[in-house]
Amino acid sequence: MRKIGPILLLFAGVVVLMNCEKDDPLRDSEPKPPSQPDDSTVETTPYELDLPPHIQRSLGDMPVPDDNPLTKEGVKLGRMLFYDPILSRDSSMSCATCHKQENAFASNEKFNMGITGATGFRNAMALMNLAWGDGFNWDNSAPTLEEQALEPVVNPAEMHESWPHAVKKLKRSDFYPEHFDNAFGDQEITRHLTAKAIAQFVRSLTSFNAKIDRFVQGQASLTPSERRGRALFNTEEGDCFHCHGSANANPLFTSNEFLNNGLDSMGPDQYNFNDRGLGAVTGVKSDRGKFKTPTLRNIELTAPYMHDGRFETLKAVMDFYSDSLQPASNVDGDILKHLPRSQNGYYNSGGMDLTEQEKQDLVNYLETFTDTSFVNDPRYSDPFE
Amino acid sequence: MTYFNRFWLVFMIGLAGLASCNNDDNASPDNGNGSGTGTVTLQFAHHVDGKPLLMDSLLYQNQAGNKYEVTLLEYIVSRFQLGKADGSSTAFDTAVYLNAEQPNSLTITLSEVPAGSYNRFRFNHGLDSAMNQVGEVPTTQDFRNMAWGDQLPGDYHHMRMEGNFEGPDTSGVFTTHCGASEDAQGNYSNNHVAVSLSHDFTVDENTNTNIRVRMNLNEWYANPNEYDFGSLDQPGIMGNHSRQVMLSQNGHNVYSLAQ
Repeated sequence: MRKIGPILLLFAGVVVLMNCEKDDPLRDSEPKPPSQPDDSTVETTPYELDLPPHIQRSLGDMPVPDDNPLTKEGVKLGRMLFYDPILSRDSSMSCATCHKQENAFASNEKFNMGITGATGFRNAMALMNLAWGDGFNWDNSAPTLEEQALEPVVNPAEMHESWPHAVKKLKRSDFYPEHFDNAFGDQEITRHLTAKAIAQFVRSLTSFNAKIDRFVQGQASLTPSERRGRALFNTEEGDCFHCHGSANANPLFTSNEFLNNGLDSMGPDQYNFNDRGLGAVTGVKSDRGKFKTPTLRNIELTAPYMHDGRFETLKAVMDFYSDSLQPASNVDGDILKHLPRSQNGYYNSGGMDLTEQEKQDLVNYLETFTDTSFVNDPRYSDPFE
Repeated sequence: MTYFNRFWLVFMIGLAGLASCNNDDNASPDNGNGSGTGTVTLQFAHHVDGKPLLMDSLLYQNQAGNKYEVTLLEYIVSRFQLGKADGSSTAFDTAVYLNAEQPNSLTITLSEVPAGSYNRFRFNHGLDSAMNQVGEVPTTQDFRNMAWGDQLPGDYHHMRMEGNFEGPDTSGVFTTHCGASEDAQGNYSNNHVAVSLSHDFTVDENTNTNIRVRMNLNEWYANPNEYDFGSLDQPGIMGNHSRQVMLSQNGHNVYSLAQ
């Protein structure tokens, strides 16, 4: 016992020392291991934007998050990831499968089919000038572009992949590790870095070279029909500008708000919409039936229209706003004021009551928002072709 | 004088000198007339003839007899001026967006206000003609969403107040959107409201002074022009010069200060 005692004591001391090492507060202040250096050590090249003067004046500089500035390396990587089907389970589908450049990165199908044959239930939104907005998807389910990029990869009706498997494929790739290193330094490839790169590319998609932009800068003239359409758009006759902006003060052509624009009829204080939209995200009853106000830039190219793609043509949209706005308690006031009152004090369906010529004038004006340079810009096209 | 006494005398003189230097470094500003600066915090709030504004609540009635609720109240204030009795003033040529449903937007802090006694507070409800142009206001989404239509004079709404009303003759939606207009001869009228309020207050160095600004919504519709939603606010007033002028005239009685 006397001989064992010192040994036990020694043993106990070793145990204590081991525990002390685990609890050593100095461990928390140690520098990161060499395999995970700080981002600040990465040398990247700022991505240059060339905003027209009228856009710079009304929108200011492009807002970007502090932890994900636009760099040439990040945008390049994001563009590759956007077009690469590697992020889908069977490597058959990419972001660009639905978001096509020729359609201003919208989908020309009402709903798209994922890799399993399942279809979505909302029309894929156009992608342009998103850096100046917040709250993404039709229902505001993605507060940032970085968060938005994560969801389609795992959605069973879209790419139906798991992020761990997607990341594994990227790590095994012959070229992605180098591009991730160029963009983010010698960091481990993760879903979040992947989403950051895609978000950088999506932010780089800017469209400000339509006829309406040239008109604002005094470089183009509008036809008589386009001028009549402009007058309807920018006054309370057509009343488009309240939600869809104006060429001068809001050239994004969207308020980025989530509103009910009178698509579906409901009784007073009834919110039984098939698609709850914003209300499904907030849980607030009066948010049901509200959807993101889309941009009207390139609207000629982004049919079909509305969150469920119910309108095939711009003419159909004009018919809707002219004659078929539907009442609901949470319809935006600038819509509701155009509806006739019923005898019971509620509202009947109705609208701006436009003539066929006025509808055509509005369509002609909307077509001045088309930016052909955007849909043909090689900076945004498939880098693998 | 002994060596010891000399030592203590020099020591005490030195100590006094040090204490004096110390007082100069920590000098307190004159009370109310110092050369330093403080801050002034403007706190905006809304009421309807004394009743606090509750959104989406059919609680109110204007002079014309319309019972109404407010579903939207957003507006711009700009060019703050703090005036002194000698006629001098400190100006802040900024524009700020306010929304009755966004409490954070209703507090505005003016920094580096020269300490002193003031007797007047001025500001613009809306934007004067020099500021009512793209490029002269913040490039934020809130300001973009106050865009006035391209077809209309001026670039921004001064205010958007919307809601539902009932009676006395009809019911419906009101959308009181205020901005610039043109008369039949094409003469431009900016229609902002220059507010000037008598108010005695003092700004002390490194301290904050609060000014509580109150908007009485019913005054937009009462004085000197009675405004009935049913007959005057339909189907929209943005391009209607006479309505815009009426509301602008009424705006001179809308604001007051609370103690």
